[in-house]
Amino acid sequence: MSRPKKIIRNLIILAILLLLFLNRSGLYFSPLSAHEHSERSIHYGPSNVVHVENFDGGKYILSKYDKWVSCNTVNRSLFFFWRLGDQPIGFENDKTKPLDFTWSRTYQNHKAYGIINDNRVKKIGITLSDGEVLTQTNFYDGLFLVTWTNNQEFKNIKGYDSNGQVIFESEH
Amino acid sequence: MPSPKGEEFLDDVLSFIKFPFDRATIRLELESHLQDKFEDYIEQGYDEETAGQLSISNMGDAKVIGTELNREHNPYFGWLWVLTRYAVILLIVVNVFFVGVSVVMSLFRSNLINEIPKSNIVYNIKVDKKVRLDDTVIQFTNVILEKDGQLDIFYDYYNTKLWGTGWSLGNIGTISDDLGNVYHSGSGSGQGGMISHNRRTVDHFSSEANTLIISYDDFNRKYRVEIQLKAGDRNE
Repeated sequence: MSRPKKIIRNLIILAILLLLFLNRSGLYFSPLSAHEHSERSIHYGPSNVVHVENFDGGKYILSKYDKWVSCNTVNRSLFFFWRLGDQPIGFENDKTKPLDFTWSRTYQNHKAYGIINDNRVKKIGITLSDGEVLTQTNFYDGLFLVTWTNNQEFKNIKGYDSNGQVIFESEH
Repeated sequence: MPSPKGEEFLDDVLSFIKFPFDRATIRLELESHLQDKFEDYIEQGYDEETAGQLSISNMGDAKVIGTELNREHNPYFGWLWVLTRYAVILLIVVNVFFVGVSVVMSLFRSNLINEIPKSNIVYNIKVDKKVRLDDTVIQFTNVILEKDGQLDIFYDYYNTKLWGTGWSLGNIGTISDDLGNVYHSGSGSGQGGMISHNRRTVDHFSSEANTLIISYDDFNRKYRVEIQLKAGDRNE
């Protein structure tokens, strides 16, 4: 067999072995592929991705699925690949509230995310345990995401109207 | 074994070969040619020194031969061939570790049912009910009621797409019976692997129940499995 043919044979074998390795090691070529597999394997979604945001070592994927809102995470792995992170399942939106939300942390990465049910809410303010207030005015198809890494705990959330008046407040 | 001048000639030719992995083979081949020519001249009656010189000069110009051989043994193809060969070997080892070990481990797993002492079993019902959640097929295999009221539901599951590892199946649904009892307390355990063998236990299950109901209704996925009870082997 000529050398070019041997190279082609080796490349084909390599492709098959690489796919097998990726399959069994839970690695994916793209963050969205990892996200979709994450949801499907936990029997949730497929959700409609409305926003993707980077964090150190991965991405937050803010999504809507039917009456649920989720913020899945996927993590970068082996430089080129992506693997499942955590929290692929969302919370059920309570439309009676001006906004509904949840918050959580994974190691040093904290996030609070939710959905605006009352169009008067134009700004979100999240107060942390040290008194710092994080604000968010960017909404993605009615969803919002606030992240922080300074190890402070979530204390409360406020929803402000266009005049800066608080129209929603919650500690949970 | 070529003469020192023959060695010098071979070294000269090989200095033009850029792909080092082929040099040994080329050297052997040229040595063989040189030896053949040397023997021909000896047979023709030349002395060894003259035969050696003639065989070298008959081989041709070292630079021309070396350049031509280097073209034939293209260093780019050569390196690509070596790299892909080692990459194949490396990935075979990696796959044996990732795939082979889990397959071998799954062959030696103990049967979860055997963990229940036979003297504890009130009845053991063999079940053959299959449901599907997305790409996951769940097969309920056995239901065992123990004397202390614990009900054990055994089930296997696997992914039909065989792609990706994903999350394990943590919830098979709500457990209830035909008497209207809903069971919340209990525990679950599993063995993992490509076909995962699992056991879900329910505490204080009613011995009067005739039907076990497993109903799943989460995130727009639904199934309902009804298993007739009291049909198994009693006091196995």
